[in-house]
Amino acid sequence: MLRGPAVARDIIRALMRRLLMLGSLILLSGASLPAAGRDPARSVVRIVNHYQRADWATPWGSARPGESSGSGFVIEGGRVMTNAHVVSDSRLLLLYVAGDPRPHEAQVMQVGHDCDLALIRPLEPDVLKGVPALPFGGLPGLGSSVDTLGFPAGGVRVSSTRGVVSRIEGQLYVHSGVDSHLAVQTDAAINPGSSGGPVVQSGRVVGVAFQNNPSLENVGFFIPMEVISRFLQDAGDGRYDGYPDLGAETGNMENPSARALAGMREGESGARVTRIDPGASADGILEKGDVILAVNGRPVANDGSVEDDGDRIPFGYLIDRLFIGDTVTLDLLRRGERKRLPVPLREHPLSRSRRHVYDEQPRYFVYAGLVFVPLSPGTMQTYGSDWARVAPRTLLDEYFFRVLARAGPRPGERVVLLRRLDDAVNIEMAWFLDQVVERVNGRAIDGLASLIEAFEQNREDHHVIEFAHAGRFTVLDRRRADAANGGILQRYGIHKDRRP
Amino acid sequence: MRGSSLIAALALPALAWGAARAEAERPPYEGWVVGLNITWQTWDEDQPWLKRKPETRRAGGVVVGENLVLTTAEMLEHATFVQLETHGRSRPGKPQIKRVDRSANLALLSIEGGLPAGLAPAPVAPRTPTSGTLRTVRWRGQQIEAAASRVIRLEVERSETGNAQYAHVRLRTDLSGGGWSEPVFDRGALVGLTVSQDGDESRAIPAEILSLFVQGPAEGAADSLPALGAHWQVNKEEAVTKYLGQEGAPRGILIRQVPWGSTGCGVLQPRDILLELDGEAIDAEGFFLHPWLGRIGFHQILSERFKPGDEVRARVHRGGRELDVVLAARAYPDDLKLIPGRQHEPPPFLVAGGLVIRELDVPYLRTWGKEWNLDAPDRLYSRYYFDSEGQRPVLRRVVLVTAVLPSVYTIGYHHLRDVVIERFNGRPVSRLEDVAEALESPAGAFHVIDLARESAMDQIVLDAGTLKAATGAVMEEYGLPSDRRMRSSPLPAGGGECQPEP
Repeated sequence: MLRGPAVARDIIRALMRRLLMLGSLILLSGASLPAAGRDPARSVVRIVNHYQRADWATPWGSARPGESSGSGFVIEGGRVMTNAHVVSDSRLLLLYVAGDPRPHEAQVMQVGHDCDLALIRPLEPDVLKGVPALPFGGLPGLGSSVDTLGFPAGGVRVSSTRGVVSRIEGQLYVHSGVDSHLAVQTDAAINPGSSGGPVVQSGRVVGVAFQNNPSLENVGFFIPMEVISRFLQDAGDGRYDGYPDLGAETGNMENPSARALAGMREGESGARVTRIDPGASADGILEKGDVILAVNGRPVANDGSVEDDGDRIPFGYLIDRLFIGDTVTLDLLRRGERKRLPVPLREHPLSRSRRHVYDEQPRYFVYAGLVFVPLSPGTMQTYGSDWARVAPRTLLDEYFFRVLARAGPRPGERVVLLRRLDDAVNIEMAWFLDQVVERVNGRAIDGLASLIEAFEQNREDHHVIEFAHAGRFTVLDRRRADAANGGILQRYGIHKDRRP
Repeated sequence: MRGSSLIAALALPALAWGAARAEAERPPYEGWVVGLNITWQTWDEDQPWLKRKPETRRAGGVVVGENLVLTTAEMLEHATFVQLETHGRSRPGKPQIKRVDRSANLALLSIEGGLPAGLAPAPVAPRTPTSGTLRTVRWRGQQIEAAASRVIRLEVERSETGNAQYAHVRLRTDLSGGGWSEPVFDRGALVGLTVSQDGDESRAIPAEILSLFVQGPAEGAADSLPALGAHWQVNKEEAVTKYLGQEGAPRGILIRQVPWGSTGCGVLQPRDILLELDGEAIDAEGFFLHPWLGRIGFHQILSERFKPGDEVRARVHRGGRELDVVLAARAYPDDLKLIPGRQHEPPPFLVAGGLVIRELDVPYLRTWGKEWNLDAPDRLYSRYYFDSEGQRPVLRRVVLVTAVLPSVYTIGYHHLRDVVIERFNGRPVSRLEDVAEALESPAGAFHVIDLARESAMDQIVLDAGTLKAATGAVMEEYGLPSDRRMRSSPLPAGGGECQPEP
């Protein structure tokens, strides 16, 4: 379930406070001896990822390569399941199988950054021959014991820790930063390096270890079967599409006056649609003020929850179980009339631009020393780990709120002037760092591509750059800027002026 | 004829100034300088029907008239009781606030029963010295401290309590812990009143502004200094000036935005280059050559030569040519802002069925602590940050439900915090008064409150028939003395319709 941008703002702020505590469980720089184990530990593999992260502050470059190690386990089909964050931004992925001291190069088959799961396989065909595939189980009961297997804290032999399932509820997945799914909390000691390791009960996998909370002793979290099965099913056709989203915010109907005004009958319950995101599944089908009475026939309570296997979950988790292209049927109360409407489900239009970005290089355009980048989570992270609090107000407001006000099937990408590379051609500019670009040469900017075109198609004497707030604008002498451009790129060590 | 006696009182000290200069002896600071012991109390902005615990501050003051003591307006904020002190003890007579000018950050107190014996008006110098060593003076126990304070520079800065900008004197001082309205003297004449001190560097309001204020009316609470109020930027970029059609080297400042109600609203336009004010040429960085203060910020022209209501001649570059225009000098008081500072009034509020409704202002934002600019909810802080963009004659205030005092009546809404009201019973809400009026006309059997789109809830619906009883029950339960405090005087009119951005 993707959090709505407005709600996401508060969540991300809260998350920033927790991020230092709640860590993904990869271990940076691991040792290199393979593990030997017993069943089911024989199926557990160690994964070493030589990665290179993007550098959003200097988007034409890359950060120094690094190494991390995590865990995985063999499943049917000669595949290894692990966490997405174990294999992200990989330049070289190595697999160590129990009883085999040799590193084996592996490749990523499928990755779901929204659910922090990935499937990889060794490049050589027979590496996993003789390694038993672990079977999957179900959702472990509250209070039942589970064993977490993996390679925590740099160990070279597989480790097994036993814990009790202490809580099962929706939780933010820190790898993506915006997605919230069911997660299981256990009191087994889960340490860095355990990421991607199987959580086993009665010889069957019931989860994948993925994040912990170092501020709490002996608390770890694993991804439950509901999320794993969905990932495997989605990836079954060779392409992982991700989660659909209704794209509608709802509010409670707990007040009897609210129910009476909406025309709800005695005993009827539901949740009121308070916002519809432009371009989302609900756009054009739901209306603000609709009351959602039931989702696929399951009654929605006044607090927005539905009954689920003896428990209650937010109705959005029902949509999480569906796939992009599926249809959800909603029973609605609209202006006193009861309706049943099918809603074809698609990805949330903002999900890609709000999720942490992996396996991609930052996009940018440098002209006359002005560095333009799209407004993205990567751009925001250049302001530090506390960016949701300390980033410039112009960007925070744009990132979280103004985006809601823009209608259209796809909310246009916003472009930011991130940096100035000082040169005689730009040094006298009134400085507009961190400003959102509204127009260039009279053309409204709805993405990096339109910005590049607006500069390159201009034949006037000047380039006029207008920013989003308080009438700010600046001007470049086009001929001087063109003449200076190559020299600036060379002096600042920028090989290419763009990655559009 | 209080006014004429004040002028007479001022004239005499000015004549006496020459005599005072001639004396090599230490000037009689004991007779001029007073201490003020001020008890003050702010409102509890979260529960605006309550006041916080009283506190005290000590400030300086100086006798400037027959029965008048000058201090800064800031020192008298939220004052509940003021005592006059000299020689380390309180003096008879009860100080009363006679006049406050927030644009200048100055206030006059009169002493009920007259000035105590031994006190007399200090002479006010006609000009502020631009160099040399001055004396910052205050009472410390039973003794007068007269600390050396060297003039570093004069710099045009915003008034601590208003939007006017004028030259402040920056001093390197031997006084420790100053900045509390201590008078500053030069050879026996008053030349400044401190407004802040950071380490050994203090800032003071200069003699020119003190004189203007003291010579003003005897009573009232008017702003005497106009403020430009427009957003502008330096105009050093040749590419910009060429694009705008200005010939020769860049000069003047580039106007970006002209908020409603500011000086220049209706006359200045975005992308005008303001070249001259009152015949003085403004350079590309916003300075002009002052006859005795030297190169200094152009706002000094407005604050030193004009008062609100005056016409100000200006020359602007617009659309490739220069033209003469006339601006209407306006004080641009804080009350014109969408999110005001509201330092001088108690917070207006209204409680309806347990919903605590008030206007968004800076004191409320400050309840998020020292780093309120980072810690206040973004959807509120952004409105403050982009205040001048949101400010319109039709939208005077942002009205919030800050909290809900829980009762069965408001079930389902107890978690709501700081949500912005857009409409109340179908009526647009742009001030608290709109809510009070809308409460009188419910939408049928319900009160319907539509919230701004950034809230997870978009609507609050309350039963109209039982609202009054529910409000009464909540007041009883939570100990509220009243369900509302409305503004004591209407919001000021801004004047002028400004040009939209190009």
